[in-house]
Amino acid sequence: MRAIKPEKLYFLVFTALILLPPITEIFTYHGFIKKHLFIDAGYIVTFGLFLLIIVYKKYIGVFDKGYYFYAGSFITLAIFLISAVLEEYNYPNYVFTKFHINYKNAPLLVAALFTGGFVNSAVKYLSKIVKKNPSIFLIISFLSAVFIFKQAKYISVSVMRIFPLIIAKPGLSYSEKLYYFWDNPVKYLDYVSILTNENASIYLPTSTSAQEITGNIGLVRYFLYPRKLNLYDPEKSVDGYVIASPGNELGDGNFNNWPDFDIECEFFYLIDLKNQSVNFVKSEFSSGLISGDTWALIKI
Amino acid sequence: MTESLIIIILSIFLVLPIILKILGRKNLPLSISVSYLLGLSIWTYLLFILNTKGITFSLKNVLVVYSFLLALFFFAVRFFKSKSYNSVRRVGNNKNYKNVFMDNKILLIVISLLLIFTFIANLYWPVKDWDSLVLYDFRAKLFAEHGGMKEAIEQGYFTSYPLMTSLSHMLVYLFNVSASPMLLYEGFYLSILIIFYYSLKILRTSTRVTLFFTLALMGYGIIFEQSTVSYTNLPYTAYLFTGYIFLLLWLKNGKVTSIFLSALFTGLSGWVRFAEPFWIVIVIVASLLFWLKKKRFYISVYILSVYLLRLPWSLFVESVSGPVPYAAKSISKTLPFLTQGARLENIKNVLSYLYVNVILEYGIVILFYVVLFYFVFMNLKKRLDLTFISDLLVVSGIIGTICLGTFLFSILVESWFQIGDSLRRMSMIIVPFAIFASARLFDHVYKER
Repeated sequence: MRAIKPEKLYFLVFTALILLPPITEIFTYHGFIKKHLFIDAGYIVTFGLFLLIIVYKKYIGVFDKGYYFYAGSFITLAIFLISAVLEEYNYPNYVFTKFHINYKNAPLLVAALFTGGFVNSAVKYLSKIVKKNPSIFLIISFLSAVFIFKQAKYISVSVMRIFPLIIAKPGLSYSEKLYYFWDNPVKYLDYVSILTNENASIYLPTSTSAQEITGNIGLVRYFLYPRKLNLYDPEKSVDGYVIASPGNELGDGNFNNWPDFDIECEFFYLIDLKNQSVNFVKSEFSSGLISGDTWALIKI
Repeated sequence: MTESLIIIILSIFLVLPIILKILGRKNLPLSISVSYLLGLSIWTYLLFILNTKGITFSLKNVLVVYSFLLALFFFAVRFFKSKSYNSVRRVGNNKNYKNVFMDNKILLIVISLLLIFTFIANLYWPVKDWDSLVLYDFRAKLFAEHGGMKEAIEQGYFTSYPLMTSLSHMLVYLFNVSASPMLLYEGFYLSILIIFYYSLKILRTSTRVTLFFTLALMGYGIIFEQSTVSYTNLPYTAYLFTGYIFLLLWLKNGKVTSIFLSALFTGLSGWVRFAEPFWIVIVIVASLLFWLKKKRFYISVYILSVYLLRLPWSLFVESVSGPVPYAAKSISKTLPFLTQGARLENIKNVLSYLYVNVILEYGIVILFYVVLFYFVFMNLKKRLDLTFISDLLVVSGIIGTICLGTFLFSILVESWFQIGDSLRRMSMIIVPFAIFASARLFDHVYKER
């Protein structure tokens, strides 16, 4: 068996050390490294690359043009994309439950591998180029490596956000794609447009951060036009429909319901977005009726 | 998808014959990219002006306007004489193509992957992002439905951005109301990349460096992200950058058609986003170059052209909602407040805001440019020609505008610190300029080896 050259071994060990933090976060959680080592995993990778350039300057390029690293980053991205697709087919958190892999942290590893490829090939190339000034060589190499790392991570995040659904459900309708992106608020607004006529007045939650979608007239207008939209005012709002939305989950299973007060009304619709059912209720509206996937539309 | 493709093809063919005459048949991809940007903006701008005169937005009318423009340009091209630009050195035979591929295979593979990613994403996803639903696409749907702007104006928030992207979406909706206009953004993305690549090649940058920096531009996170989002930031960047590129090409070839195209693109950037004052940087640099080259007559022609192209929209806004906040006007109004705002605490807040939203995002590309500039001109002692000074002025001008603009904004608007994401997106204009300037500097280093 052919013995591995020492420089190759050093380079491999060093690279493995750089890749360790991103790999650890895939099997634990985002922020694990920072919690235990008080430094962000991304900074460790960046600093590691810097050291790699300084210490192993003359060894860089020991693997032919770094193809292994590039291939590794593409394969890693593909594996985690498949994980995301699996989750689309099954249920949220399916991959973590089944394989104990936190695939959403993968972009850090993909970026680190891709940058490793760059360091291994292009930096060697740079050292030939910037022979006249070693310190400038170091700065340019380091800046290029950080640039590549940052952008590769950004793109991996974008790809992981945009592509799983495309692969898992290529035939979705326009509304289903919007539901995926905007979730319950847009599902709910589609019900509102079915349940009200085009001349109706709709009163929105008075804008709070918990109701940033349903409380935004500009955004809601896109889905409910040509209905007249106004923020709810107990003194002035009459003859129309009030949007009742659970808003954000507070962390204890309760929701940031709006309205958080009871409203006297003619009737209201209780809309179950999960089971896609609508109940007509002829009584006073109580705030406690809405929660999570259960929204309401109140006729006043 | 088909409808977006029709609009892309129609836009390209509107001005392609005349652009081909200027840029030369050998620069076909460059001509197509320039034609797409120019055709789409001229078509939509004329539709807007005609609508203010009572011509409604309907499929019949937009096609009649298109045919009129086509005939006009067809007629113009017969009388138009121009020597074409330097072409990109032809690779030649298949063997050489193969060599270029083998030498740069990783670069070409990643470039292809990114293009495939954005193309598929634009094919799949409909218009979905916040600002587009609130304004750009919403206006487009109202235009297509009502045939005019009245209804959209009554909905409010209308005059904050010009109508280029909205009218482009409308053209798609007039063909089919349930079609997606997202492919238009693939067009903007491809256009800026091709213009970037070809301008570097025309300036004799080596193939590997050009490819590497084209990849750096297309893979720059926010540029990549914006290629799949129907916002105005990427188109605006494409127009302003192209305006600058033609100015630079004028320095190299001295052709008056380059100045004409530069003024056209710089002016038309105001048809995509009006309020940002980055166009002033290009106008100042252009004026300075004309002055240095002893072509002072061009200064007034350039400024007048840009002004005239921006005028219709500003007059329209004034007629709808009162005086427009011209950059020059706001600066003169704001200057008295500067001393008031120049308190240490305010400056500290603005700096930390700039650090979070601009430096963290774009610092790396700016630093890269600064280091290369230092290295090439201080260490390698290269001759600093006018094109490099021009790059430096534009890059520093844009950075200065971002800093000064944020400072003024912090004085004028109470909630200034709440729109960091908007500042981050607006500042993406720096990316193609800084990467382009770095590529040209790096080419010196590359050729030095």
